[in-house]
Amino acid sequence: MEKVDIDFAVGLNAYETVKEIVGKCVEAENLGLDYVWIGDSPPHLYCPSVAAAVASRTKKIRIGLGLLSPLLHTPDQISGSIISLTEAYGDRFEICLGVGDRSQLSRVGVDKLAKVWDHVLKAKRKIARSLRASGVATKIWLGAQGPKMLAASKDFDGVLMNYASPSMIKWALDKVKPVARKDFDFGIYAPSYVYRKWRHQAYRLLRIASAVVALGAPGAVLDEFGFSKRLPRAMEELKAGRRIESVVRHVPSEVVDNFSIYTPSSRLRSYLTELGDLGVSHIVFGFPQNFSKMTIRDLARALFEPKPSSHRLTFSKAGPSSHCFLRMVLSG
Amino acid sequence: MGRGRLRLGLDAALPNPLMRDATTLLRRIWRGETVTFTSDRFRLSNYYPRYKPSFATPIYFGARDPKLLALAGEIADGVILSGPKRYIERAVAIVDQGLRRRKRRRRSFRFVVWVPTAIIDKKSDLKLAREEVATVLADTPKAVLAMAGIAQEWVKPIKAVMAERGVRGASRIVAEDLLRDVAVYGSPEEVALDLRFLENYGIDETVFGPPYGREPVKAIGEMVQAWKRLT
Repeated sequence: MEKVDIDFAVGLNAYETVKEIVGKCVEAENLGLDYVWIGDSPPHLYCPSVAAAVASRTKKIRIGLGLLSPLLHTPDQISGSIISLTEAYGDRFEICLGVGDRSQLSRVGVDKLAKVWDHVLKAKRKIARSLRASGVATKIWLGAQGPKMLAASKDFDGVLMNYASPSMIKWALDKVKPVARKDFDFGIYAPSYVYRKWRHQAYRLLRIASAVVALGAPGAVLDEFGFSKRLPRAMEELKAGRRIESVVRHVPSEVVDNFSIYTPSSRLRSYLTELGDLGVSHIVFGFPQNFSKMTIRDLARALFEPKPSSHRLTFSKAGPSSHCFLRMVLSG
Repeated sequence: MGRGRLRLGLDAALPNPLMRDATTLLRRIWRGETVTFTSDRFRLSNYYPRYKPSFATPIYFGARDPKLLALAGEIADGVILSGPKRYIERAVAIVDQGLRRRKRRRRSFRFVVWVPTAIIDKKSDLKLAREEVATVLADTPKAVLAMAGIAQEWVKPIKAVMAERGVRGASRIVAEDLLRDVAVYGSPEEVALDLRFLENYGIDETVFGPPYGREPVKAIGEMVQAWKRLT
């Protein structure tokens, strides 16, 4: 697979105040990130309104909305929001459609999920027609995990996969590549924690976010990667309506390795090279990378700062003289 | 719950329980409660918001049906009324009945009225108001027409022409008395006086609604000045 340029994004879960979310998006733009993605989920703030606030305070960063579920919003509502946003703030928006997190959907009474991919596909066609009729060219991604949704992604402009480990990404890409168009984009949107200084609180949130993704994964995926026998207890607790914060203790820690981007900043580049080699062109560093402006800055440094030279300069006092002298040390 | 809901694929059968449940649920969710609730239209299971609202948002009903008006008085923070002037007067009385059913009388309840308004420089400007009134009447339920003392026979031809030739055609057959009953129009001073008169019905706030005038921005500016002079 040839190497591709990669767009970098930070994902924001819209449950902070709008002021906090906007502040983080301004920081992301100033740091040189290409995108911010504003999440949409029943317990969060309304994503198009948050996107409008972000667009009004930023200049060029692209803004993704989603994952937007057609089980929660009608195609007319989605296309109407995008047309309004584009009219007000220019061509800076993209959307990601998908089913959505099953446990969150069931909490708002959406639990008849037969043939959902068909429903999502019909919604996509209707939204695309409506946007075209208004002269709005918005890229429409599909958020996909399981084999059926991955196969359905050929009708979209790109696919955002909820995977992080290269082996899982390769497995998913093998499902999509044979049917994808030439200009099709492959992206991942995963819980992330790229750190310079490790913080327990951010790691705890990463475990929760990874558990949410794993527990919402289709059975075929869990079977394929050996998780189906390790998650039933957590799934039962979730179905019983327990809060995810308490369910996470029944989720094995390997879930973090497979479903999230969890790395010290010094090792990020080798991981990105691996993903670039696979053909991934869009990476969304999801919650809790947006934990604070500091964690967003840590990510940007890991992505954009020049690789430190192995040539180190140190000052050393040597000998009886009180003069300092400069010594060059090859660190190896 | 206007006609737009049909375009969005939403159905609103039995609006009273729907509005009652929606109002109760919104208030519980905004308080940060974990909500489990089942009705014909809503099914929440251990739902809780992740955001923490630090405010209480007033809930107004945009209602026309008498049962919904009474419910607004009973449970909402305010009501937005629209329709012919005689209807507004009666609608306020129905909302008041609902207010009387409350355990604690709510002094902060707000009555808002939304009126098609046009600043008229010359007689030909009236066609703007006629178009708006034709649109409003074609969408007005029978119960509202009855409360306003408007016979359905007067409105039927407007609806028929609207369906066949659109709003411009329909506007040509809007009779003068219907125009006066539904819209407020005239010089800025006349409009300000007419809107001010709504206070007599118990209205707290008036929305200066479209079409405004031939030049909307200029008309709004003139209207604001006239209102200030009056107050």
